[in-house]
Amino acid sequence: MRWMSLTVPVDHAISAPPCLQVEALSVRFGGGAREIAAVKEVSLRIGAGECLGIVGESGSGKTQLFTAIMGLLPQTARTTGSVRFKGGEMLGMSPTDLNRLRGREISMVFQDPMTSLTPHLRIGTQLTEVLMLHARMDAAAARQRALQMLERVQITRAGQRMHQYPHELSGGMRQRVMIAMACLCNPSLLIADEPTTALDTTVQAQVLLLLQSMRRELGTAMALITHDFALLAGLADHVLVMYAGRVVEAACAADLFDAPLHPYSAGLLACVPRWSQARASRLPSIAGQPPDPREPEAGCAFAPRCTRAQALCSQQRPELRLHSSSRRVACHYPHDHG
Amino acid sequence: MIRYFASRLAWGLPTLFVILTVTFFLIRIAPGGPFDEEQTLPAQIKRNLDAAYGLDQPLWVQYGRYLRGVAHGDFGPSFKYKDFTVTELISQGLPVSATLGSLAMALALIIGVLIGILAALRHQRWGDQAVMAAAVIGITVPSFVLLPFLALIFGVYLRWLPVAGWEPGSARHYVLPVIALTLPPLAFISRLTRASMLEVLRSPYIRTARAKGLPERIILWRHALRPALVPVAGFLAPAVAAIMTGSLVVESISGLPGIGRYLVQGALNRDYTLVMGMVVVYSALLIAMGLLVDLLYAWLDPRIRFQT
Repeated sequence: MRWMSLTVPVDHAISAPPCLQVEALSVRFGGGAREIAAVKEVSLRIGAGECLGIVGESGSGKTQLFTAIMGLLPQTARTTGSVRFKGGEMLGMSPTDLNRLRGREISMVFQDPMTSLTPHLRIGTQLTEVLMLHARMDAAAARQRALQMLERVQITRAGQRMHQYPHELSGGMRQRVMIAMACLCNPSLLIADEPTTALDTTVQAQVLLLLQSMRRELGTAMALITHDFALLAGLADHVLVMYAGRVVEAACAADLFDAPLHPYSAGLLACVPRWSQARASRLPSIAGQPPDPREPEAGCAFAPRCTRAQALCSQQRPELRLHSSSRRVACHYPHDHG
Repeated sequence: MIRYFASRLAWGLPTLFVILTVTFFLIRIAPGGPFDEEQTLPAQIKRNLDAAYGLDQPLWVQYGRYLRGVAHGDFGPSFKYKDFTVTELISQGLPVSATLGSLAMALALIIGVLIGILAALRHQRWGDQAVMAAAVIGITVPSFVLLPFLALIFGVYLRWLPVAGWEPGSARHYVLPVIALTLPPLAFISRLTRASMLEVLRSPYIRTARAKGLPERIILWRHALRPALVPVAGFLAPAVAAIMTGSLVVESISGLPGIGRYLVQGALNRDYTLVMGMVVVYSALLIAMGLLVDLLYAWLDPRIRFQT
């Protein structure tokens, strides 16, 4: 039942603990009647060098999940479960120990490059401070390394950029800086939270290619969070589909794209526009809204929007269970691609 | 940057000129004159006085003469403080007022910002709430209530400090007036700092800094402090104005021989030249403060630097 079996060949899994192993992670805000569960009992695993895609609508808890893993949630949030990085438990770690991992072993690229860089500090300062802190480099060595990294992410006139402020750079340029910043210490795990959402389409592709090549060269494992299935094609090894704070389907990327089991995954995939579609036909969409997180759960959270829902769906919540050798799905009536 | 500053500096002079002109004519519109006493002067004496001070000339001639004087650094004789020129009066009182005002400003800024930061870091714990409640009292109680109260406690009951008065070179006489003048802007600055610091600490770039594994100390001083101070910089000019007006009251309650009394008494006595001199001093100070705030803004947020 461990979902080890579906991520990496077994002989790999025995030799070393996975890069990231999350067990039954839940995140709650508030208390009593106003309690909101943003993430519910999510388990996942990312092997060394692997890329895991996490897909879901806004509010599905995908960002909260990784914010919790990084220990970046506000103090009002309560996180339960287990997050093990290379075998070591991260939940409840002291801030000092956490800071030894963050930025060095695990780094994160955020959605909005416009607001995610400190506006009054030069690019160079924001890059070198990571190296001076984690790699104990002196200013000159850090500068050298930061320059290399900027060139590595294809930033032109890197020496000049080091002296510039974030607002003097374009959005795509800033996201490259974010990626360079995240990769400075050769992290084992890179979390990219919707890294291309705020960017132009042409720049999106460049940034994705860049992430891909950084991952290949540095052997970094990656968690790629997105609401856009199309981004994951050719990037992700495995995909988690999240809905209303829960994982509803977990599969190897190729399987999921070919034959989604959960009606929600199928719906999301159908929403990706294709050139082959007739011009006149309407783009498919999933009707309805995600559930209010303050409402108590009864049955399957997706049931009200699901075309396949039956009486059972609104009464009993489907558990995430093994469907076939390498796939898991939380649905009473999954698509049958027999 | 330097060009921007030079252009702002160049704009200061015309601003001062406009203020000067408007004040000159406004105070002449006010009924009465410097020599109107309870008992009316004999007509001949009044005429002689007016002639001696040039008040018998048409207004625009007086204005022209006054401007020429100011251009040469001469603010004219006081109408009421006989035997003193306005320049003499101001240069006697200014050091006292400047000491009082700049001490109050510096203390309000430094302590206010520190308290604001501490409160933000203790957000929603009792330390934060106690300090912010105290700050509301500090904002609402004006200096002229605070100073007699302080004088009563520390001067009359405890006898630690002089109740009022002044001796040249005595620091003890400054303590209570400075505290009374400091507390209201200090309270306001601490609330301002707390609110903006809380907002900054929730911003995406602080999350980035945390994700980089930076210790809280570096996050606070390097990444959060400068953006959090932008609203405080915006409050500086109003704070200086508040301290100026506050010092009028505080100086007269505590008997400090500053320039504050000249503005009030000058206006009441229709001491035209004295009022004009005070207006020039205060406006020049405020204009300079505006310039300083601009420089400060540019340092706090580089995005402002390039929008010139």
